[in-house]
Amino acid sequence: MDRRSFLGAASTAATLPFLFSAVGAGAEAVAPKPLFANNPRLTPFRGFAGQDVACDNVAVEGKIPAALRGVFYRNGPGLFERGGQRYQHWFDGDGLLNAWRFTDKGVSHQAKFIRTEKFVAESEAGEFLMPSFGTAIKAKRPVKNSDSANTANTNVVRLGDRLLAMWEGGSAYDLDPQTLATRGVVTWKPELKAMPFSAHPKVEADGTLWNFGSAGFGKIVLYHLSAAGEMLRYHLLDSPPSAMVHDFAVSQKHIIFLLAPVTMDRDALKAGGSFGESLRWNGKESVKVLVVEKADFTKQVVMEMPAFMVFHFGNAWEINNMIRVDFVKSDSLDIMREYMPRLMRGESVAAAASNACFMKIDLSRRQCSMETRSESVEFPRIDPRFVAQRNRMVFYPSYVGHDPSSRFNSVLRVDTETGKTDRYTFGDDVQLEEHIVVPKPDSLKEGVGWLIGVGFDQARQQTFTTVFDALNLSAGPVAIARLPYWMPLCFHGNFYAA
Amino acid sequence: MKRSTSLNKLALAFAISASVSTTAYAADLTVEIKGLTSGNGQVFIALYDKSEGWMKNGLKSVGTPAAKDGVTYEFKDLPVGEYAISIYHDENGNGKFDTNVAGMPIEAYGFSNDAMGNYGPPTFEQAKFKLGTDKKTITLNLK
Repeated sequence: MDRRSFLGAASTAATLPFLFSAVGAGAEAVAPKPLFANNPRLTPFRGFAGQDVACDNVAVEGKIPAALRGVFYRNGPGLFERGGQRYQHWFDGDGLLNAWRFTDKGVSHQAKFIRTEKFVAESEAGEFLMPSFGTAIKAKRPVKNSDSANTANTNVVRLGDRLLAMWEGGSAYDLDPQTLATRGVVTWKPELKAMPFSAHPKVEADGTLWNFGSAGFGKIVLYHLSAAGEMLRYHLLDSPPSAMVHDFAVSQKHIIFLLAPVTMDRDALKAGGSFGESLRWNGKESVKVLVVEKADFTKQVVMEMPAFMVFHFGNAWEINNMIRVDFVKSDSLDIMREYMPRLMRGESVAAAASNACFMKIDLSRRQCSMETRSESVEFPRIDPRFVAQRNRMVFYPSYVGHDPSSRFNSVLRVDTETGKTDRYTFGDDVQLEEHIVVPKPDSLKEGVGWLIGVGFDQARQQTFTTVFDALNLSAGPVAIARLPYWMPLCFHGNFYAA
Repeated sequence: MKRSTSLNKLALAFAISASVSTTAYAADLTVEIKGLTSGNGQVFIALYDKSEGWMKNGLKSVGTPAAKDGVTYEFKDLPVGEYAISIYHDENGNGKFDTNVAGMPIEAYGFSNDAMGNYGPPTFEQAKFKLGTDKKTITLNLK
């Protein structure tokens, strides 16, 4: 018996995020109450009870462009309550996969809960059995590894014949792209079983996919996959430690991480706190700018910047040893630690600011600088043909107006060369999710295509998807497809042309 | 190499237990292991009698063929005292407890009392049980 390796494994595992506490004794889930009766704006945070829904013929206002044909997949947390318990954090919910299909017959919608190991077991039991990201649910079944608690709730990409639903802490789940039926977890290689495969892979125009997994404090695993979905290379990297690494960027030659000063309070965790509750912000520490060579994962450079928090990146590109990277920054973890739990309690609260930020990384001088814009934004996306290439435009849902507790009510395009913006604002009755660029099939020019995205209309209590001319947002949507029902909000998604 | 080393350890462990068993009241301990997902490979059982050396140097360690319905193993003539057990299912028969590249377990494992750790393995204290002079049977579930 190889007892030594058993010990080694067990002690290493102790450093892994998402290998959750099994003794949860901290802040328990709150009991469900009529939290949202007086706050119709927050209806999507009620979540679903586990039901799948579909609408074959979505009502369309305006005209869906004839060349816009394909499937718009989105993923997000859809279930927040079971057996008298309610999750405290938006990130906790079980993955609910949405497919908006644009065909010659019109627009259809389908949403199906991802049958993760967790979802299936908890559905059968009628109660939560597993700890979650932000709620100290006491484990009622053994937590074998990260995938025991995997909700697959964050993003979705199509890779070969697989539809990958991804979470931050564990394996990708493979779904059937047509039926959305869950096929099971993806194990790229035996030694990568249950490894984190993060929810923000970067897919280049040729289909090459780059991803990472935060494999514990100071360890990041990098992945390089082919367009067909083969694991070409992986590497376990020693990195500056950060307890929360959500996204990254890829340029022509480099992989870029901005590692925020977030640590894990192990005592809080040992005392039964959830993973999210046990994260600590260390504003006096620096952000570590980690740049790794795509061609050789063992070659890295680390630089520093004053503290800020980052969740999402738009893109990176480089010229003459100067990398440009854009992302959305906030001042601390407050959005995640304070704002989201209050939303989940049905409270109207103002979100902390998050703004578009543009960084230059001078690899020759080992210096970084950045500029921050004033607009309130999140969920940056670019024309997908320009991932890891020089791009000019970034698209965001954004907030404008005077009601600080309103959420994103407009779409914004920023021209990074001129600084000019193009914006369309809905009323405060609308809150928007991430919007993505769908290129027109017959053009190679950046931004020539449509901006599509989902929103919630609180007056109608319905979810809709809109189509804009991506280069003329201010003209308003060219089409809106309205569901007869509301959906829980999604995090991220992608479009695949028919 | 590993096999001969573990056989040596095993021989030593048996020698120790044999010498101890003549000096104290002794009982047999039957270990029932459930929760196997296949009958491939072996189940390894490590028996500890003190917290020092927990998860490092057991009193005894044995491998027994896996069976999907469960595995039973009997430790004979153990002195009265406190014990704890760790197990794993070496499903692919490579003689190792397999982990992924980040060191997270990817083969099934378990502990006496079905003890669960908190961000790591449980302690000896969490997994320990008493063995008196009567025969005892305990059940462990692989997870």
